[in-house]
Amino acid sequence: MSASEAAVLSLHNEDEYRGQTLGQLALLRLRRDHLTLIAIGVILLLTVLALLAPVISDTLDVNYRRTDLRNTFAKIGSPGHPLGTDDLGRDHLSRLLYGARVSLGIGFSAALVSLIVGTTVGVVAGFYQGSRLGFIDDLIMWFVITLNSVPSLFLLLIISAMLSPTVFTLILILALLSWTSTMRFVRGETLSHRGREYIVAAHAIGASTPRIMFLHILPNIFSVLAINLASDIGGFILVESALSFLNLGVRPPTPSWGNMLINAQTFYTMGVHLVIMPGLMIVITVLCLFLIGDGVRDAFDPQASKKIA
Amino acid sequence: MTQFILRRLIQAIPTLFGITVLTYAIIVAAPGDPVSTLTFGPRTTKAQRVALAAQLGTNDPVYKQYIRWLIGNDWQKFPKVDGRGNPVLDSNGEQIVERGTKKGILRGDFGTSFVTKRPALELIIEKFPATAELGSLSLLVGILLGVSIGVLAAVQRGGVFDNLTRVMAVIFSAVPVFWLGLTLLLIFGSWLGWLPMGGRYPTNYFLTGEVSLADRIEHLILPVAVLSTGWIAILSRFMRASTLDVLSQDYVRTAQAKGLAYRQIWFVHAARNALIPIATILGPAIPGIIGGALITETIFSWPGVGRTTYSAVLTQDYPVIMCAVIIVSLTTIVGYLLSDILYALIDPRIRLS
Repeated sequence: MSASEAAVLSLHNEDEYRGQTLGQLALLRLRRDHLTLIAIGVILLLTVLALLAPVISDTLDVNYRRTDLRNTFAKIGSPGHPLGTDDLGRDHLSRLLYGARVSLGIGFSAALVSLIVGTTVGVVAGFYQGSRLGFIDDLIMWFVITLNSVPSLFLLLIISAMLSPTVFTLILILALLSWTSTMRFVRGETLSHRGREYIVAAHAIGASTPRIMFLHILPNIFSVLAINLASDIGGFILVESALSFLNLGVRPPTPSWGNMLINAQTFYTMGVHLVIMPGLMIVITVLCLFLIGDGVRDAFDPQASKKIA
Repeated sequence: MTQFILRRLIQAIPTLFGITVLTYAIIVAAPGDPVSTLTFGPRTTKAQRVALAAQLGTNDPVYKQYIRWLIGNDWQKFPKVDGRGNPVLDSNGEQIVERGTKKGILRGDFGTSFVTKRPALELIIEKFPATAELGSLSLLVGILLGVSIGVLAAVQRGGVFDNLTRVMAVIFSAVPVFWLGLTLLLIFGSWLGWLPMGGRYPTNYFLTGEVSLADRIEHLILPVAVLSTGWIAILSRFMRASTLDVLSQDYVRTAQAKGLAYRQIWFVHAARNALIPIATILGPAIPGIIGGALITETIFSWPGVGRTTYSAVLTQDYPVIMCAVIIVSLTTIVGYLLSDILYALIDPRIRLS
């Protein structure tokens, strides 16, 4: 029996947990899930560090944009530069911190926008499926299937190359090309909710269609969606870093963990830390986000965790 | 079965149509137009540009241009003009009328590359074997390793191996493909010097035209390792869950009761049925793997479709980009189709409707 199963079983045995809501139970389970708690701690720490990037840079008297060609490729632990300097002599620590702002910010915003778009389209498509206005669903599904058949990295590359995006447009591009899985899920859920009594009742008292869609159906499926948010953010950070690495995402000199690796292959002999550190930051961040995603999912659905364990 | 395949093929038609619309929409939205690209010279007059635009049909409504892109214009006739847009006259002083030269993408004419001036389709097809070599080997390695790891993890459920592979699978899903490639190159190429830093053949291939099998394998190891990790991570997790389902069934207990060797029960009796759901994830995994292949090819200078597309994107070589997107999407659709057919073939319980 694994630790998580033990936690689940003990939950059912102890009286103090009786009469708790699903959310309260999930919170209790989360509190016992040390791995998820550590992951949450790491992400919080990274967020705080990213927010404090200007303060930290000022305290250390470094600047992420100030080049110093007499002091390039400084090693980790050099005086004045705790994590060394890059090929232009810019402080590596402050660049990593500012990169965290960009990467985390893009990941979070893109996940949010894609969630909103996917949910809205999904509810509308699911609601009209098979009805008098069923062509709306057919059209949307046709578009979604088409979009899914083109490897998204190709579309991302082409659109980014054409638009030379700013951080803001990059978020929109990322989100608008990846809302389809959310949409499919929401559509399925809406289909199953559509015929239930409370919706029939809402129809009967004359509630308008948008009201039924967004005030009745949506709140009932939103909790299931929010659970995926953490893993979605992780996924977006991965895509953004790949795009920035290919020099088509966040453009230098704005640092992002991906674009700090653009010339990595030329750093092999000069500064290995420039190859390792940004990648390690991505791995740690995305790993923690995935772990949080898994932990939260298990906390809300103990049955699922039993099956997997 | 034939009916099922036919129906799936027919279902693919609207998707294919959608892909061509999407691709064309992107190019229409792209900045710059072919006329100014072709008349990039100080001597060109405005009248010549107008004449050239009329010849190329860039003044037509977008839907007409789209249809021409699809089916070509060799069934239309145009008054002939020279490269500067001046009318070309025959000996009687009348303007020569000739047929269009575009065949349209439906007949395989994707236009010529702006950069190399060669047919776009030829450029992509030429690179296809390299990508297929890399992709199929990675898939093979991924299935072999992923399936075995998954079965072993399920059998030793909760044991050291199971937990270790679980942790590895989560970690590898969080590692960016490009960074994995960079780190492997750093370790095995730069530090240890065991493996080449990239490319498909050693440098002297271009002088002698000879390449040994050992050389080819040497160049394949790192890119295949990078590309197969994705498959291994997905397949081992999936195979583990699916094997666990099968192991609890009666026929496995019967096999144990008969006294069969465990290895035979796990890898012959159980794995066989556990493999069925794998067919369903092969199709949907393809787009992601193709994206990964693009990055891998770029890092390892692998002369494949992905790297060609990437350089076409950087030089805004639209004919090549459009051709690559359509070919890659076509591959994806065929992949989905094969995955569905495979599923129906290996599991007779699946209803074909």
